[in-house]
This record gives sequence, C-alpha cells and structure tokens, in this order.
Amino acid sequence: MTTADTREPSRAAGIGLRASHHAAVMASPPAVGWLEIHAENYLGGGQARRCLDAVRRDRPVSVHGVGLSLGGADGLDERHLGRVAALVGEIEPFLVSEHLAWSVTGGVYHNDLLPLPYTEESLGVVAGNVTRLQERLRRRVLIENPSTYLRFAHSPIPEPAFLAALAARTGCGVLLDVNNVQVCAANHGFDAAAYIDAVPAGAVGEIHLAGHHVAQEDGVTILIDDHGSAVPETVWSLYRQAVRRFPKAPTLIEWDTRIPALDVLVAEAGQADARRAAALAGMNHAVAA
Amino acid sequence: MPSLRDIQRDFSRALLGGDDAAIVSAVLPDRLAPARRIQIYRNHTRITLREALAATFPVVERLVGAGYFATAARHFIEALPPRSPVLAEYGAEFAGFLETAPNAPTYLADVARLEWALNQAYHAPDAAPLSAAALAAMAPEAYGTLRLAPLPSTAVLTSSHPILSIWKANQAGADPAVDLGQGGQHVLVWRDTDGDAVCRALADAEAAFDGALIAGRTLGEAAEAGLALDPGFDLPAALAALLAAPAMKQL
Repeated sequence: MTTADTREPSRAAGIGLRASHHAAVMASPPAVGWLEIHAENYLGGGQARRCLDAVRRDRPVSVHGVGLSLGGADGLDERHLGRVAALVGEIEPFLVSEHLAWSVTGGVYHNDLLPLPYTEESLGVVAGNVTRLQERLRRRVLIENPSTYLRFAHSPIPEPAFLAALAARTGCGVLLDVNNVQVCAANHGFDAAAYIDAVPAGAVGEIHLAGHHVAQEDGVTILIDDHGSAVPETVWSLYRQAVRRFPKAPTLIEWDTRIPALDVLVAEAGQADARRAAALAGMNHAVAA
Repeated sequence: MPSLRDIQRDFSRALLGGDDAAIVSAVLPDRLAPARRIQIYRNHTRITLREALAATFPVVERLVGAGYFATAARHFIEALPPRSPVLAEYGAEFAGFLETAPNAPTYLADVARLEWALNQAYHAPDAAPLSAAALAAMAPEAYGTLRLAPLPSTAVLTSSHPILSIWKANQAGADPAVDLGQGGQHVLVWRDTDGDAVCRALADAEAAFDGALIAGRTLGEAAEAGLALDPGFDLPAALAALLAAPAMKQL
C-alpha cells in the first residue's frame, strides 16, 4: 500500500475526482495540486479503486465523506464508519472532511445533506458524532458548512457560531464552502461577507468552490447548490475575502452534475490559483468572466 | 418543541412521500412557504435516487420507458429506501420489486437481475483470483475434492427468458431485434482483467458445472453435474474459461 504522505498540501488548487474522468486521469495525470474523492464512491474495488491508487501514487488525496450523517440523532452507522476508516487507513489522505448535516434516520439514507436546527441539542449530537469519527480515524477532520433551502423556526445559534463551538468542543477544523455561503446568504437573506468574517480564522483547513443553479420557486429566487457550472463571479468575489482570511487553506474545485471534460476542471483550478495569488498579493484586479 | 430525533423522523416521512404537516410546522415561515421548501428536498431525494437506479438499470429503463421507470422507481424508493450511503449498492431488491409491477413484461425482473449482477461485478471488492498456473501446481489427485469460491464479482444467472439476448439488443448501436421465443438462457457475469463487467451465455452443462462450483461443490461433483446434462461436456475447457475470466478464487 501507499506510504505515509509527507508532502506538504500543495499550494495549487485541487479538483474532485469523478468516475467520468477515470480514464482521462489514468491516461494523463491532470496538472492540479491534489485530488479529492467522495469516500462513498471508492469503497468497492475494480476500476474506481485502481484509478484512486494510481492518483494516490503521485498526488496528495483528500477524502470527503458525504454519507456519515454527522448530524444524525441516531448516532453513526458503525458499519459504514468502519468502511470509511478502512479506506482512510489505506489511502492515508492529507485531509478528511464531512458535513454539518444529516442524511440518515431510522437506518434510512436519504441521499441528501439535510439541514439541522442550530440548537444546543444539535451541537451535542454533532459534537458526539464528530468525536466518535475522529477517535475511529485517529485524526482531525474538517466539517463543511452546508447549502440549505430552509431554516428551522427554532434555531437560535448562527451557523458560524455553531461551527466555531463545534471546533472548540471537538478539536475539528472547518471546511469553508464559499459557494454554500453564497447560496445560503441568498436563500436566507444574510450577508455572506459577514458570515466569512465570523468563521474563526484558525479553524479553516480547506476551501471549496463550485457553481450553483438559480431557480425560481413561486416567484422567489432560490439558489440550488448543484455543482453543475463554473464558479460564478459572486463566489470568486467571496473567495478573495476567504483567501485573505484563511491564507493557508488549500482550495478545491467541485463539479458533480453536467460534468465537463477534465481540462475544463483543470482550467478552473488554474483560475483559482491565479485568483488566490492575486488576492494574497493584495492586487486589485479585474477578470473577464 | 420537537426533539432532533423527532424532527429527523418527520423530515424523513415527508421525503419518502408521507405526510409533511409535522416537519412543515417546524420550518421558519419566510419568503417561500415552508411546504415549498420541503418540496425542494423531496424532489432532490426522489430525482437523485431515481437517477441512481437508472444508472444501475439502464436496460430496464429502456424496456419500459422513462415515464414508467420513474413511477416504478418512486414507488420502490418510498417502499424500500437505501439503507446505506453507498449508492452503487442501492437496488438489490429492485428486481424482486419489479415482479409485482403492473403490466410489466414477463422478462423485466430477470433482466433487472442481470443488470444488478453486472453492477455488482463492476463495484465488487478486489480479491485475488485463482490462476490456471496455481491450479496446475496442485497435486492432480487433489483435484476431485478441490473446492473453489467465486470472486465477489462473479455470478451465474438462469432465466426462463432470453435475458442476455434482450440485454444485448438494448446496448447502444446493437441490432434491436430479439427472438423472445428462443427460450431461456444461462448467463455468466464477471469482472475482466480491465475492470469491465462482462457477461456471456452458458450452455446447460457449463452452467450446471459453473453453478455447482460457485455453490461450493467439489470439482468432482461439479464435473458430474455437467456430464449429467451433456456426456460430451468439455470439463477442462469449462474450468480453463472460469479461471481465465477470472471468476474464481481459492476457498
């Protein structure tokens, strides 16, 4: 198996590894800093695992879980946790992350990152599950802010404060998805820049970028986090702020629906590198869309 | 105020087509009505799980059409939702569910079983196959009582319908003509050395032999099962084909 990854997480942005790109990635490793996988898509064998092992030989890899249901009041599915832990043990990724969301109740998996009410009760549930996950993996994980389409009537803790409390209680870090901040700010009417300023600077260990879909529901504009298009200018603008606040966090480009050719993702990662360098240089630049 | 567990049970019920009154009452009334907000989530669960089933059962969808498939998928998802977050493992019960689907073609469930076996073959865990060279290194007197095991990617299916012909006719670019009167077929499904899930028809004797080996019978017993159906059954060729696939491992 692979040896421990002693390489520094690359300064260059990474991309999500998706099944439709396996053949292209095997034929020619993409010119990006690192790759991220969804844990649940690499728990079997065959071509997917073969591609992952090939990628892992020459690039840092991050394992991003989408099904552990850390917000689940029932606690974690120990069988699934064991499978993810085995993958992490074999791949030795440089980052492991999951979501501030739930997807399982009563043993049923709903294939979505479902919203939580931000209460003391929820904080206790998520903290318990994150602690269990970190104990099982014997490492720190990053927890991602979700995209949401509703808020609960009783949800007294602001999301950045909830993430900060979770980090303080469990020692976990934060995966800041800038697109999700933009989606939630639009859907729930808060200031995205203020949200980013409220996330504790030392906690953020990774940044996600993606595109979203602008939908109309009963005449109300709702942003849907479909990861199905290029990063829009509104998200790039927030990214500049995020890079300055969290300069050490590596950046990932996510694209999960209407997935384009691999070189489009590689170009998007290059765009992130350029934007990041410009933001850190304090340059005031204008970029064509 | 409902507990988090209550909220999640109420949310789940609404996502799976049940009553949404309880979860709607817990949602902040905002610019968009709470019921419409819940609907966004319900649509996501329905659509993405239907797409997962369609990715695993493309020929079933082609045979019945997108509209019929969407209805069947919705009923299946609501009755038997996923129990694991690994979507490639969702749909083991879909073929059985299609047995009772109204006005479905008689062969539909068995075609679904073939697609499920191909899906399993593609995603199954890696395992070390038994090679012909490793078998040749064994003492010949031990062959008769030798027992093998299938790789996790291997399956033999038997249908009273020509499921392999139907499946092949519904691949991209294939001749769509199928003689449904040709009778049943046995099919061997495996993962080849390139990692592709593949399948081929088996004659009665070879299917009996392969099936017996996969079921854990000795090589001697499997040979008898093949020879009982065809005195001319070519045992060495059948065994060599299974090992070359690769389809078997050491027990």
